[in-house]
Amino acid sequence: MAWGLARAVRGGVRELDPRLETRIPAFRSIRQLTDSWRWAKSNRAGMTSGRHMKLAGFFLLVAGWAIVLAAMALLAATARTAFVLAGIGVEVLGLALAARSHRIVGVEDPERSRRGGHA
Amino acid sequence: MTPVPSGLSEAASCVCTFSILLIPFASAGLALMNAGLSRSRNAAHTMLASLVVVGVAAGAYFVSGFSWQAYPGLPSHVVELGGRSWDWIGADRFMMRGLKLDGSPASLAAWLGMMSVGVAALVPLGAGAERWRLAACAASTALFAGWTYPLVAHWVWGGGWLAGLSSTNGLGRGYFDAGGSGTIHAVGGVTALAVAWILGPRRAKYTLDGTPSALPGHNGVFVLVGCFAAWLGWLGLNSAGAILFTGSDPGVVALVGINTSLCASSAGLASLAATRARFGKPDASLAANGWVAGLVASSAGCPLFRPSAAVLIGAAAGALVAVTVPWFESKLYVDDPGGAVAVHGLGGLWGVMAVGLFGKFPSPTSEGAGASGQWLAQLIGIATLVGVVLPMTYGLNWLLDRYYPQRVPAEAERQGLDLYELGAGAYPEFMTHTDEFSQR
Repeated sequence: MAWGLARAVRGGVRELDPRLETRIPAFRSIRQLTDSWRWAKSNRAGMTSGRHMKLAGFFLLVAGWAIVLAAMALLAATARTAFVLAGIGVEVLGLALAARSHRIVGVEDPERSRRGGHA
Repeated sequence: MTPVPSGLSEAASCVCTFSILLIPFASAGLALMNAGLSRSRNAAHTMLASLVVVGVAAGAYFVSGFSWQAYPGLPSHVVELGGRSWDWIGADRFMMRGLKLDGSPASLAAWLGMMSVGVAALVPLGAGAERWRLAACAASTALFAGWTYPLVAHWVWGGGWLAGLSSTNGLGRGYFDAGGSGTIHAVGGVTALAVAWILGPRRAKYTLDGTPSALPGHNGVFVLVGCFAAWLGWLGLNSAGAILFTGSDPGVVALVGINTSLCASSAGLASLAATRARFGKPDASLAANGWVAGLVASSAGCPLFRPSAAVLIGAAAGALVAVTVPWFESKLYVDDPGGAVAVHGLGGLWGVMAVGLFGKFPSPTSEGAGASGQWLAQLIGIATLVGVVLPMTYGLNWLLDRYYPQRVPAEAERQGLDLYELGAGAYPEFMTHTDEFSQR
């Protein structure tokens, strides 16, 4: 509703006088608000396959830490070190996936990159 | 970590107070560096954003930060897991209402925390420079200073589970981080990575085939003066941390000062040498970044390292920065104008690990814990910083971005944030902007 109201106000203002926005700060603020919402919306619609990779990456980061924590809480000293290292290995994998997913979003999709590289 | 005494001697209180007074120089140094490394059209915005960030961080830390960070002996939430007690988060009253501000160790820790959180919050600003809205930057800082930083600070300095790895698992002295390599800088560094990912690269930073373009900063003098200011601030940060969070004697400040200075010097020289070997000439901005990376790496173990080890640790940090800053830019496509991810993130993690490799603990504690297993405790700290803090800070900033886009519109980047957000440039008499956008 607020969005519709802002859009209607903006359209009305434009019809009345295109220069009004530059003269009255409140109208300019409304324009900036609607612009930024539209910009955010278009970026969300343009999600690439990097999204799944990103989710998997962050999941692995948390999972790796969970392995480390579980090893500390539940295991004896001898097995603990190996599981801590394994947990860190999982985290490294997650970090690599997360980094790769943002590389796709930021650079390899020229259209997204032109719009501003929003993640 | 070494149990913290319930009271400080008069000498320790004096040294600690003087050290805390130096910390704003670290903030000023980082702000100058960020401004110098950004283009002239964004210089005033970057400086103002630094001031805003420090102010918002202090406010958020006052409202909720210290209550969640707490200090050993103050209330906290403890969970039983695997038959052991794990201290997760502080439970002091909001707005420091449960704290007597009388010069006690807890009150000095609150003051130190308020200064430190400003330094930590400045780190992401370096990565998001030239494209981060001022208001979004302030909102992100409030989340950082009100939640992310205090949570980690409690685990390390507030009697939390990382510091308690000694008593729960018999790992050395528990996770040790005297001056905040991990707690301040690595937390700031991973937040910087999250911010850089969410904001995306600056327009014109990469060509359509992915080649990075050089967008050099506008003032090398700012950057190098920032190094000197940061040095002074770090001497205070490390000294105060060593006394308040590790229970060291006030006389340790001599060792802390020597180690901090040696680390920074060797790091600066190493990055100079590395850039000269690689590019044929020494690179001023990378050398400055190397200098700060040395300061960052010195923080965790400054009261423990021998001076010769400090030289090695600093040299490794400087070389690491000289290699990783271009790597982040060209291989991972992380556009980080201030080099925050490499300097504070990787430098901080290296400093944390250096405690396990080079730290010499003076004597076993009264409980009989030595340094055995210290490296594992430090490794668990690193796993926590990467496995918890990065997803958490990314999630918080992503949520914020969903409801209030953090990045400025394309027009603002073209115009410069000084004019777009502030209405006036930093250098009104000298309009030397060129259009870097022709390649797109």
